[in-house]
Amino acid sequence: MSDQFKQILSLEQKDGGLKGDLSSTNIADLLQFLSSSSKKGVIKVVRHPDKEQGQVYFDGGELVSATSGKLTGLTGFADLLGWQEGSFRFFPGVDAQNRTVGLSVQHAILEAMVSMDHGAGNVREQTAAVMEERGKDMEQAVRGATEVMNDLLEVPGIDAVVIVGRDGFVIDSTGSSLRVNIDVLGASLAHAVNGIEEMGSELSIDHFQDLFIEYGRSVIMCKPVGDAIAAVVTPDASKLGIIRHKTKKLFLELGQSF
Amino acid sequence: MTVMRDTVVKSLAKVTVQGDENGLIPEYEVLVNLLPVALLNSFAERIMAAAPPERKAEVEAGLVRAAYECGYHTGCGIITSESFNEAVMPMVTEGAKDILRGAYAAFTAWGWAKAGIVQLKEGERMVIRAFDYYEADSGGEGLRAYMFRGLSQAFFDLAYADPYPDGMDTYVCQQTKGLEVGDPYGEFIVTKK
Amino acid sequence: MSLELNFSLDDKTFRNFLNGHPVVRHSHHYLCLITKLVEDLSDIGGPQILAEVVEDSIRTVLDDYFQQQGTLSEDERMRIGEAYFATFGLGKMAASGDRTGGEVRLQRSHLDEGWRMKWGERDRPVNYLACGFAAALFGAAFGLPARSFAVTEQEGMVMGAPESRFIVRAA
Repeated sequence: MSDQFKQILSLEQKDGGLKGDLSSTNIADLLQFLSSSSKKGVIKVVRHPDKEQGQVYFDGGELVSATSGKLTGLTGFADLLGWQEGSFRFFPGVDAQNRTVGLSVQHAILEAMVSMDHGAGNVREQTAAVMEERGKDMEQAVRGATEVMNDLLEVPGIDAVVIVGRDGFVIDSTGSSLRVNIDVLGASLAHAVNGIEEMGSELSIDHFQDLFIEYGRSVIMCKPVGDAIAAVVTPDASKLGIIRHKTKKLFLELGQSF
Repeated sequence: MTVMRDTVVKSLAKVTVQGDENGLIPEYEVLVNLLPVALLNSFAERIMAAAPPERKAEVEAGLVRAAYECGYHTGCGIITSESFNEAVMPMVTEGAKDILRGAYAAFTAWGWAKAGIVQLKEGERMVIRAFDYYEADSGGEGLRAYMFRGLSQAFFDLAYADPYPDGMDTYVCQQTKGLEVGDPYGEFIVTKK
Repeated sequence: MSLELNFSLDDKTFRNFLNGHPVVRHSHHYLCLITKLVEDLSDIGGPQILAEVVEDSIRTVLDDYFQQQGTLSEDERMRIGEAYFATFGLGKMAASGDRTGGEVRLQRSHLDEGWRMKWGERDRPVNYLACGFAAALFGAAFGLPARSFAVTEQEGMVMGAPESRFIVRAA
C-alpha cells in the first residue's frame, strides 16, 4: 500500500501540498496511509461534480473531526467514505478547530462502515449494539465469519481464505488449498506478522495493516482481523487491485468475529 | 512476539514416554500414565450407556470432573515445568493469554487434540476449536468430548481464576460442536460459572 | 524375550501411537477420579464396567502384539504383559499361574500410590483397573476368551500393604 500511495502522492505533489484524485484511491485508504506516516493534518476533499466539500482532521492516529457538507462527526465521516469522485488535498501539521469524532482511525472506519450498512441513525449506538450482540453470542459471530469467508471466496481472483491466530493456529480456511499447505501457511504468517509487528513497534509507526507477498506461483495478501490474521491466496497479482477494493469491507466485518 | 504454536509443538512433541524401572512415570509433579485411546473411549461409552436416563448427567459430570482435576493439577505442573519454561516462556509477551496459547500448543504436541484458541476475552470467555481429538473416535450419542471440556475449564481456571484451591471451578466449559456428531470441528466455549 | 516398543507420531494430528495403537497421556488424578466415579456408580455395575473395558482394550493390544511376534511361550507372554503394564506407567507387576488361575502382585502401583497422594489411605482395595489388566493378561497368555478369568484384589497398597495382591481364578 505504501508504495502505491507514495507513487500517487509524489506524482501529484505540487506547491508544497499533497493532492490527488478519488479515482485513484478512497478516503479510508488515504486516511490510513497519511495517519500512519504523518503526525497530524487535515485532508480536504471536493466532491465532483457538485463541489460539495468535506474535511478530515487526524492527530497521532486519532481521527479528531470530520465534516461532509453539513454533516459532522462520524455521520459526516461515513458520508465521506462513500464519495467516489472528487479531488483531495492534504495539509500536514494543521490542528482541528473542534473535536467531533475522537476515535482511532481504524475504529472510526469500522464504525463508519457499520453506519453505511445500517443507513442513517446513531452510528455509535448501532455499532455498540452489533458488537454487544456478537459478544453475547460468539457462536453466531463465528458462523458470521464463515459466511464472510465464503463471500471473500467469491471475489474474483481469490481461491483460498485462511484465518490464523496470532500463534499460528489455523482457525478456519475455505477454498482451494492445493497450492499451499494451510498449516504451514498459518505458522509462517504468524512468524512473519510477528516480525513485522516488532518492526512497527521499534519504529513507532503503529500496527501493521496490510501485507502482500508475491511469489512465482501465488500471491498472499493478509490483514489483521481482530486478534487474528486473515490471508487470501490468489494465483497472481493481476487482480490485486479489485481484490483490495472488494475485500476491504469484508475484512472489517471479519474483525468483529476474532 | 507472541507464543508461536509450531515452535512449541516441535519442542514438546516427545513421542517416547514410558514407565521407569518401577513402572511409573513421575513427571510434572504427578504420576503420568499412557493408556490406549480405545480404553478411555470405550469406558466413557459403556458407563454412559449403563447409566439410566436420570443419572446420565451425573456420569457426564464425573467424566468431565476427572479431566478437570487432571488438567488442573497436571496443567499447573506443566506450566511451571522446565520444558515449558524453555519452550514457551521466552515467547510469552501477553501474560496469561500467551500461557494459554502455549498450553493449547502443548495440548496438541502431546496428542490430546489438535486445538487452538479462536477468541479470547481475558478472564471472561474463550472459544476453542479442535480439528482432531481422541474423543471424536468414541461411540455413543451426542456431544461427548468430556476430557476436552474438563481440561479447557482447568486451563482457564489456571490462567484467570484465583490461586489454588479457591480458584477451582470458577469457569465452566460447554461443547457446542463436535466431530463425533458430524461437525467439521469441535467447538468449546469457556465462560464464568 | 523383552517387549519391543515402537512409538510413533502422526505428523498431521500429532496423535501418539505405541505398537500401532493410539495412546494418550493422563495423570493419576484422572484415573483416581475415574475409579471414584465407578465406585459411586456401584449400583449400576461401575467397577465391573471399568474392569471389563480394561480387559477388552488391553486384550486387543496384547493379542496384536503376540500375533506379530509369532510363537511365544506362555511364560514369555506373561513377561510381555508385565512389561506393557510398566510401559503404560501403571506400576511394577509380577504375574504367575496357569490356565486355572494364579496370582498377580504389584510392587509399585500408579493407582494405589496416586490415590494415597491425592486422598490418603483407605480400608479397601481400589484397583479395578489392574483387575481388568490381569484378566486380559491371563486370557491372552493362555489363549482363552474374554471373561475366562475372575480377578479379585486381596490386598492393596492403598490400604497400607507393602504390595498389592490379586487372586486370579478360572471363571
